[in-house]
Amino acid sequence: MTEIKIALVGNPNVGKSTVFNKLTGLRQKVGNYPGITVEKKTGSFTYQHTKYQLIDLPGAYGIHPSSLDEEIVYEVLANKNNPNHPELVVVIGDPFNLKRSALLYQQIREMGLPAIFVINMIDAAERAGISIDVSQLEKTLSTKVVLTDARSGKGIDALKAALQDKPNGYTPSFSIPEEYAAITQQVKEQLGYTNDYIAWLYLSQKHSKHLDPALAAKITAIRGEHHINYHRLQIHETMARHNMLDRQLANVVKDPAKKRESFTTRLDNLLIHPFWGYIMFFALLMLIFQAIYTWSGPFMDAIDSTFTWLAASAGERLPDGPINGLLTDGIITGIGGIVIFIPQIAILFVFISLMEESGYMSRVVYLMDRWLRPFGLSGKSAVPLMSGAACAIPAVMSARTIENDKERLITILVTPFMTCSARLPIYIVIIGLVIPQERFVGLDLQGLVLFGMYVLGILAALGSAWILKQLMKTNYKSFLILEMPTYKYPVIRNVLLNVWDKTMGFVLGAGKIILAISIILWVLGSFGVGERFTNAADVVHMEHPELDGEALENEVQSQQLEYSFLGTMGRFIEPAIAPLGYDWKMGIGLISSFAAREVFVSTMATVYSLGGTDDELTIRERMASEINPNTNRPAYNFASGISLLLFYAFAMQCMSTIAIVRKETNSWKWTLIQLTFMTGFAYLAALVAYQLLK
Amino acid sequence: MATITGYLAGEVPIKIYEMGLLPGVVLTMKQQLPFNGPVCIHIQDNPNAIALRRSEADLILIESLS
Repeated sequence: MTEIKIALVGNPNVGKSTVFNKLTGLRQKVGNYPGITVEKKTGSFTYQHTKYQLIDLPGAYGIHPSSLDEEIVYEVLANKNNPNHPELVVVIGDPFNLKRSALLYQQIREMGLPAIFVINMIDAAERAGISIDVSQLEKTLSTKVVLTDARSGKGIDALKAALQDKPNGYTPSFSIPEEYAAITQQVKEQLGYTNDYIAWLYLSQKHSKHLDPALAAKITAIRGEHHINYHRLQIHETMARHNMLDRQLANVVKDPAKKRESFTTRLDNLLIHPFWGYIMFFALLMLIFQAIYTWSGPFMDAIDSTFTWLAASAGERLPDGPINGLLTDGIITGIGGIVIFIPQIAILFVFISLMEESGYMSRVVYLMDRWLRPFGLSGKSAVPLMSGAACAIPAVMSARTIENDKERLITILVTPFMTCSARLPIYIVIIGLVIPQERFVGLDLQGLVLFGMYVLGILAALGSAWILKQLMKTNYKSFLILEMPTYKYPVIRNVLLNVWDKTMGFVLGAGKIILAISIILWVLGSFGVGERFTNAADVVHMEHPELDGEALENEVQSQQLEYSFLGTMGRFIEPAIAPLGYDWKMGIGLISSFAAREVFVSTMATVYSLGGTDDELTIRERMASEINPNTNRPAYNFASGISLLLFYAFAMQCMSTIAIVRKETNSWKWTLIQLTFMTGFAYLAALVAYQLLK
Repeated sequence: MATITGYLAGEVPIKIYEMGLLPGVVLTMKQQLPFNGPVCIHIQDNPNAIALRRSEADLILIESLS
């Protein structure tokens, strides 16, 4: 069977992902984590004995990139050696903005790529009274033009059939201006293999990543020699193409009605109103948080009791011993600790996808820009910051739409301060232990403290953004030019697919780490060297001859843990964390949290159960009864609890986030600065809090 | 309602051109957010709105039609 690589390209807001979902169905992959492809969504389908591999490229208005997202489009299409370089491009066009879509199409054709043109949302266009002369458009663009309405699935089969003919015989509609013709020839000679337009593109790009450095330097030299401002070339081309298209499309689109979308205008009167717009936005945020906490409750209870039952029945069936402990306390409890977050993450992503699908998200960017700018952020940072409340990993990736390098970098650096769902189990357990169940001015005190932790995360993000803004310099002008599309009913299928991808990404990513950590902890905690570990029973018997029965066994087990490899590590860092109010057992929790903070609770479960024989207690009861051997006070008292909360609020304890930040910033320097700053700040905050409160 | 007549000297982001904010285009300013916030404009016959910061909007020279 032949296999053909196809790329979907189009302006933002033309329903490109709906077309992609309709074509590929569930046969698609989204890479969310390092190690898997990050920048692309791929899928496949078979039609008449041909297998099509589809790549959904980010939305772009033209081939000249002004953000990282658009740079991906340029790199994939311009570089023949790029692994994703397609054999056929499908350009998805917008009937309401045909000129803009046709501009992108012509650029792609002139790069020498075969491409077909699709006009999506055709039903909406017909309802608005727009008629398009398809056969004339086919002549103008010298390609097959397919009309689709991806929402209803109309035209998708015609599109599949159209993929089989490769259009050719294209005459460029942009001619290289006379004054640049000779220079373009110079570039072409350097490249040696390409057409005029590609040579022009290299001349008009600041840099093309895929170009051989020596070649790139030569092109830069040519630009310098002729005093060429690459930016001017881009503007020249865009304006020339617009003028040409005005003539080419004059008789193609008939739009007699010209009255538009009063629904969007009416809704915008409220949603982007200088006063009510903000009220509506904050009301929506409140609704989202309410939903995350209340709607998820029954699901979380059900998951919790399922895993408790699972651990208990596995514990009964298996013989007593270390393997039993590993399975019940480590693995089952650990995985339960992740699965329990599925409802909350799914609910959050339902809201975020609905906001994106309906067109509301761009209004949020518009509303928030003014308020984020003083912190060195852009309105577009609002999306990563909000998604950061679920998980920093997709949030950091969503910063790609920010054009300005500095604003994008600051957004990436501060997003991990937002309270992600992995912090939630720790907050809930510790707040439950150290904050009394009282009411404060009529509100539940524990709930208030939890809300306070969210506020703290936002303040830390904005505060550090402000500091970074003062420290960083940029050569680029910051700008916000954003299209606010008409409101649309969300396509439920798109929402569900998105929620599924994001949730599974989180569960699988975190699940793997938890499983690995549980096993490592168990090994380190069950083995050790030295007299006190190997001969623990004799040593305890000699030191405490008065003990017998269960008390003796407990003492032996806890001494074995203390002198195991794990205990040795915990005791090694104890001097550093004792001033924060933690003992060596909590130290083990901290060490393992650097892989992923959500493992703290399951780690403490493993640690406390390794050191004791009583399996009846829940992890929370065990934590409550734990005594810090240094202070002889409960390990989780008010001072050490607050100190732990602050540490977890600020510290960078997530290997996946570190990896994604490294990938997205392409810089170890910034990744390490972020890690050091966040963890250092966490340590100081926890230290000050404990010393003041103890 | 106003027509675009040109641009101020200096670097005008390519996005402005790509969005179709070109000389001769008729546009309406819908609203501006308070405290010198961004503006929302409509290009004639285009149902989608465009948001610009004041600093970008100031780069575009217009002539009033009313």
